[in-house]
Amino acid sequence: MAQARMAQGSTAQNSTAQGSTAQGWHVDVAGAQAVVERTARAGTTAQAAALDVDRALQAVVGSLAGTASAGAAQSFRAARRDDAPAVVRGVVAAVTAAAAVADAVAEADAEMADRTTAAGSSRGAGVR
Amino acid sequence: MTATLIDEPALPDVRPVAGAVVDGADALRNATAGLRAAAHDAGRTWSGIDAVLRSPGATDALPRAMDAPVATADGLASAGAAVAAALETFADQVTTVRRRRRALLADIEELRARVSASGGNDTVPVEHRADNDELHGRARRLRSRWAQAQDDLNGVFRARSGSGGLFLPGLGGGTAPPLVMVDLAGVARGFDDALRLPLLRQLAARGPEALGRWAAEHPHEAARLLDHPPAARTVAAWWDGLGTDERTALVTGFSAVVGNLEGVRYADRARANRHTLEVELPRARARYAALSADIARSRPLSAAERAEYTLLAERVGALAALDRTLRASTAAAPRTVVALTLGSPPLAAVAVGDLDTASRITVAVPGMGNTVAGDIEAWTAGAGNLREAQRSAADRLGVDRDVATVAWIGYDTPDMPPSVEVLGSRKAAAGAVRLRSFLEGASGTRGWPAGAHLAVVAHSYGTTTATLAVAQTPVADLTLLASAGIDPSVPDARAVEVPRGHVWASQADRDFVANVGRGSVELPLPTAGDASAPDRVTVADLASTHRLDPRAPGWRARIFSSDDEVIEGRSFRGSDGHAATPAAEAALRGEPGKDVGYLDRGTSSLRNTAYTSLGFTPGGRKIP
Repeated sequence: MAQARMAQGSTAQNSTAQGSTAQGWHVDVAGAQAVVERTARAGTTAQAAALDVDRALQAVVGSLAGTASAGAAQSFRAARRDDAPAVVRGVVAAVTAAAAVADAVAEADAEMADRTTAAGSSRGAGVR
Repeated sequence: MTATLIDEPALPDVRPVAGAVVDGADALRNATAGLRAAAHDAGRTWSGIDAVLRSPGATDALPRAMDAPVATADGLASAGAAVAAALETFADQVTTVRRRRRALLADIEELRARVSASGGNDTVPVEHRADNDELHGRARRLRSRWAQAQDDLNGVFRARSGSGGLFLPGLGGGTAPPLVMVDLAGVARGFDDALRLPLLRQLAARGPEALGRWAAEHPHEAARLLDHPPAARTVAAWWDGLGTDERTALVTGFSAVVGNLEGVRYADRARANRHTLEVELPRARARYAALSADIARSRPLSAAERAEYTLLAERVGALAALDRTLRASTAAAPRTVVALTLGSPPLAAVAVGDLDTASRITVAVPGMGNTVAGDIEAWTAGAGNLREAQRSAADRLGVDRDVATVAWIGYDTPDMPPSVEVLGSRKAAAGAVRLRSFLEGASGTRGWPAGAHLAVVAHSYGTTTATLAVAQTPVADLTLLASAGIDPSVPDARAVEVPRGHVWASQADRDFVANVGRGSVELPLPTAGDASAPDRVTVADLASTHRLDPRAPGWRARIFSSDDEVIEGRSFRGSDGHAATPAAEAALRGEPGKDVGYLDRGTSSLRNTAYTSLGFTPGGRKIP
């Protein structure tokens, strides 16, 4: 329901995009929310895959027990074990960074809301 | 020429099983490929961020934020695929070496049998030396092949261990940090919250007019703040960080939201709702009068106008009732509206006492037929009676008397009979969602641990609603008066999030209505004995979806009396029927009134409920 509302809201909001672009900033809340949510979902999938990677690395090491390759396999695992969590951390960091800049974006949005409304625009109080 | 008779130790020791190696290879290839696919999915999605979220200086690095994870996933998948291929080759070698080893071992055993038959031992007779040498040669080649297979595999491991990794064969794999599971959906919600609340603050800095304009032009956003609000604790922290002017701007410019936003200080919610009331009541009255005039002039109303007229009648009634309710506020029992929505029906909650400072908050949940327009005054009177009784009890018990109660008509209660709504659980379930939000909001606003310092007192169908709510949201104490029945999804007191021993139930002997909600129509039997406690006969059985009586032993609530009682030398009246506040209602009408109900002054039920809602037995013992 909320998404539907946001989508409806964004249609009107997009109509003011030109004005906002001229200022160098732009925010389409519905669009940004959709990007963040879809990215978060992909991140959740990546998180599950990261667990699979860890289990697979463990399985490889286990399958080579008693060979001269066991040590090499363990070293490979040690070297690569943080790659998958790093991918997940990267996704989390991106989404978190988006939240961190929301403050600045909101400030710009509020300025636009104030200005466009004061100018008697019928297109909406800011690109939001 | 080798003089020593060949034996099995000359053969390579091949412990791996090819199948397990192949399985490991498959798992590694698939898992790393899956991770790469997810990372690319995230990267593709993220590539659109610049088109929807851009603020020079703040978002410059944002579009590139996914580059590193995608590159890492690519590198890992590439390494995974290479290692998997090497493992498959190695598995082939395992198969081959094992097969050749078996054949060689058979030949060795055959030779050793021949040597033994010829009377030799580990010294090889001359006639067998050529065969022995040939077998030694085959064993040497097999060992060499096996060593090469492992070396080849090691080389791939080494090459694919990443440029940054230090390759130290034999090191354990436990040095990397473990994967910390992250609630990414929660992170996404955090983004949403982060964008909404700062926007409001910035708008507030420009004054209530800017907020009002924004709210008018973004009704969906405003509604979403109530339908899908940020966490109360998040809101509380944000609200605390606002300046006085910003708060005031939000209170007056965004009152419909701020008055209901869990996490906002209750005093400010009250100011916001007061503002809503003062703005909306005259507005609704004027519009209602205009439509009434049209009707008087026989101008036919359109369908939309008829709907509006009905809505306005409800709204005017509700706001006027709230206005009267607030006029009865006193310094000793201050009343504030802490929730107000003007939908159909209008819903509201009136606090008696200070919710921002009270050491305990008790939420009173009403039953069927209660509306803001028709009942908020009496229900608030009942909540006020309860607070008064709690303070009196607190004095006797030696506990903090700074308590508050809430007359919560926060849900669409079932219509009175002949409607059969009261026999179903649908409205209770919907009400439970709203009640949970209010209770959790109180915890978040006050910074209390979930359930601590919160009590619920419910009457009639309110018990159906309340039990569904506290089955999921904890409270410290639960008192169920005149229950119209508990839904089977709450089979007993163990199914609610209330500490053991803190769930109470009561019904007066002269109450012949509560049981109707449970599906049992009962009548008093003519009796020559005690008329205050008549015997009953069941005359009809109705199809109620919530038939459980919380007083039944199997439901495991504790019981107290709602009948005539003498407690510590003082007489208390029993409830004369099912109603909660008939005496208060009569007083509001300016009539003397004869009957008393569960939450009327001087009743045993009010007195006992005061104790149980403070966490004490009616006898005054602290419940552990």
